Amino acid sequence: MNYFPDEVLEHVFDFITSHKDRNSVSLVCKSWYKIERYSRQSVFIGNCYSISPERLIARFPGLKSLTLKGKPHFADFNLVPYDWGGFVDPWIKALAKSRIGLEELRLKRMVVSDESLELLSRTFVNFRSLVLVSCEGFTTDGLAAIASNCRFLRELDLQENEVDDHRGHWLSCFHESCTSLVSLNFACLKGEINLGALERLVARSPNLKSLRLNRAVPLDTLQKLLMRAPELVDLGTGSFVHDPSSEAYNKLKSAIQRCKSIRSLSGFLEVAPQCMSAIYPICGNLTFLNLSYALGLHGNKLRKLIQHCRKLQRLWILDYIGDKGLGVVASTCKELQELRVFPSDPSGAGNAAVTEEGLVLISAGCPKLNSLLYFCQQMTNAALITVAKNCPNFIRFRLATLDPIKPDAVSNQPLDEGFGAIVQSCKGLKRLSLSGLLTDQVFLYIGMYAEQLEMLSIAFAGDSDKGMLYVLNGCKKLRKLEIRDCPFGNAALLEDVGKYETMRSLWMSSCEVTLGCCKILAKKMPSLNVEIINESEQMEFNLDDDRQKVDKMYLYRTVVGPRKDAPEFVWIL
Amino acid sequence: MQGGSVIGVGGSESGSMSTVSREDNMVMSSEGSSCPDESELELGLGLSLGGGFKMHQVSRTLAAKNFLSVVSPPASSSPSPSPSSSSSSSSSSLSRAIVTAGTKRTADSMAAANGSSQVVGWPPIRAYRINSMVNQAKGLAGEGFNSTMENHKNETSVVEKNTIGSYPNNGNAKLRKSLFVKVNLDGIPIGRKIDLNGHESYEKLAKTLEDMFLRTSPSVNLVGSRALEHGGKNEITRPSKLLDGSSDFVLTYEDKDGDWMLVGDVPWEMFLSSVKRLRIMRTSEATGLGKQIHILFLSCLHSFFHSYLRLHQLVIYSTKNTTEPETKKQAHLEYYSLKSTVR
Repeated sequence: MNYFPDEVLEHVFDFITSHKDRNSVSLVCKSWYKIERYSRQSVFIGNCYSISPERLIARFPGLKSLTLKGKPHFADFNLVPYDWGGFVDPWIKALAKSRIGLEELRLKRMVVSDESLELLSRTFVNFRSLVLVSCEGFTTDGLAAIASNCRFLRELDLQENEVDDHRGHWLSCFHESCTSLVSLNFACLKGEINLGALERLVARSPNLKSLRLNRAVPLDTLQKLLMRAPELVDLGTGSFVHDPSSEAYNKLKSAIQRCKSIRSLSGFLEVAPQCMSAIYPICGNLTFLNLSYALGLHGNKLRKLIQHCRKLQRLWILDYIGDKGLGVVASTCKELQELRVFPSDPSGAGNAAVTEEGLVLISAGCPKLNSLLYFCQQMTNAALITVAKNCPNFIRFRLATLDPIKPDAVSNQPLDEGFGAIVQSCKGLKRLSLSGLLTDQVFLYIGMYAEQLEMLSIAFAGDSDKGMLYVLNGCKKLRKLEIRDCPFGNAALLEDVGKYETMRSLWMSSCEVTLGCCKILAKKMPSLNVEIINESEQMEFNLDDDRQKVDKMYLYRTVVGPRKDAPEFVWIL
Repeated sequence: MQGGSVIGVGGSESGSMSTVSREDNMVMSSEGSSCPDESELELGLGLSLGGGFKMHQVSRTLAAKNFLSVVSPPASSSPSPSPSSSSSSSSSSLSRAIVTAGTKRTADSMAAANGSSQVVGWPPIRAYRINSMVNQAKGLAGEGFNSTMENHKNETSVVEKNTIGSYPNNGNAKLRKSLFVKVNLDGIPIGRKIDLNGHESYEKLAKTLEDMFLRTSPSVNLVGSRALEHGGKNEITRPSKLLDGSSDFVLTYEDKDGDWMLVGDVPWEMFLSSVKRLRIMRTSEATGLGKQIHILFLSCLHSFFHSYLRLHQLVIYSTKNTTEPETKKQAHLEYYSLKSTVR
């Protein structure tokens, strides 16, 4: 079918960057498959156990950039035991042995060791970019290896990792000749930083655009860094506490004023409200503001700050803001697309929380809103219906009432109608998280209307297997389904086993599923790994007693069969 | 188009490439999903409450009694799933849900559980974020258990302690020139002036103000009996009523930015540098300036198949309540569930 020589096709394929599209291209015919495979540079693997590194290497010899995700999503909330898996070592070892010239590695929820970081840094000469999100298992020694050996490092981005901080010296390991840094984010490190080394590093990085500091970096160092890097686009402050009448603070003010390119501001890991006026000059340019760690900032100061940020597109904030403050956001931030409101007090003892009123105000004032994460004290159907009407563009909608099964605060009814309105109105909804009192009815709505839904998170909801079935039957594009504490059982799980092959994974914990059912499922579907995670201390989990309820089940499609690195408490059926 | 059959051609690895590619593509087909590159807090589900097998509860947290209890042991431990429960209290509806949510098996473990157990793993917040906030709050408020009454004092000093490295300690305040600011008491048309630099701390300042305003005018009956008892002498040691909220009046100040703030929030030095004037406001009017202290207990109690871990952390941090209700100072004891597994 090729009317063109391979080189032409390859050139055409260069324009196709999305993974999905490239996968489709590869399926057209043998020669397209071959051309695509040799020219593919970037691969995304959503579940590291779905394929092996060897197969990856065999198929894509030109691989430069790899993204891997490990643990299931609920590992974020400590649902998954510590050493369940998700080790990156085998991948790095295999890549190191091959002739792949890896340049970028992005990992999420994986276990990374210092040894593998060291191996990575020594093997790949052109390595440029390391992004670790919610990973663990490494220390600052591993970072030191990266700093020392990756001479052309452009990006070191550590987001919310659990890093064993051996303090200090890793920053000094960046070579004097390393001038290529574009992005440096070490906000999650807990230990001290060699401030002098940091200043020198920033001074010799003319391309630095993104800098996120940890709490150990004081405000006067920030001022010095800003003087060196006035072209920054993304800044994460460390500690933002100072005496407003001091010389250093005034210097900071003028340093900040020079930074006209800053569009994204975060950090404030420690904050004194009196100091916030220093950033007013740049607030008008901000498109992203993250105050979700700023425990000391609330009330008037917070609202006043927001009022300066007219161009904001993404806002992450604590619920100190209150409904009233959300009203200020609604009237100020007309370009707002994404809002995340985190709880300052997760127990919800009724103090600084937001309610449905705040959300309604936001929806009325910010019609471009398409992504929401909202922890709230209470919610009502009426509010959700209004929100659905005001904002039909939601792509991600995640709501968490602090009490997981709280009904409509006014009518005491389940929140079925409210969420139903959301899925009906937001035709492009891809991700949904539910909470509150919910019956099977909400799942009927989801199955009926949420045609684009890819990820669904359910907790303490539903009445019967019907709920789960509505979803499995209705949501054709579903990729990830995670369920906890719902009365869904064997009948629902076994109804359509083929469905799971079309999905990345399914998590069910504290539901009604029995061991026998999982065994049946595993038998019917050899292309799935059905993992049972059992942590019970007192009772031995008897692998022969099929009637036992399974506490945690995680199943996912794979082409490489059961994994070999599962710990004792994980059974792969 | 040759090689047309791309679907479901079974066979060996060396056979149809389309099978291989399709399979491979299946695992690599999803884009980064709808999640942005930003590290995100993903809403999800935490630990199961009382999940697991008969005698055992995988994990649960204990909450203090006055914690907003989400769960109480089901009054009727008979699991009768009624879809539209019109129970008005969240706690009983939660217990209903738990009962119907397939935890029939744990009904007895629920009963065995404490009267007020929080749902573990809810709200679904990334462990990293929880830890981070806890550590920050600890730093803000210092170690130890502080009652609300003493809160100001401790909080001030601890914040000072924390920030001592961050801002230049202007050393000895003794040699400073005077800093006079106006002070007004609500209801009294004529204000006074006071030299802030003549005072070294909030306590001293409050004492002076009490002496100045709250003792000399008999028509104003505010201060509690304690002050009258002590006859207006300088009692430096006892906590000032103006600062701790136990009087009918609240001490506020206007700062450089024009905002009215509650006195006592920030270190003394910082206060001096930003205060423009003072106002002694009636408590009933001081909405939006009230202070609430939260005391968080972090406690984690869980058992695992191979390990047993218990964590207790006590956290104090203060928040400003900017919502409508009257300002009150309350101490809340809350448990914050935190689970980390250790083998």
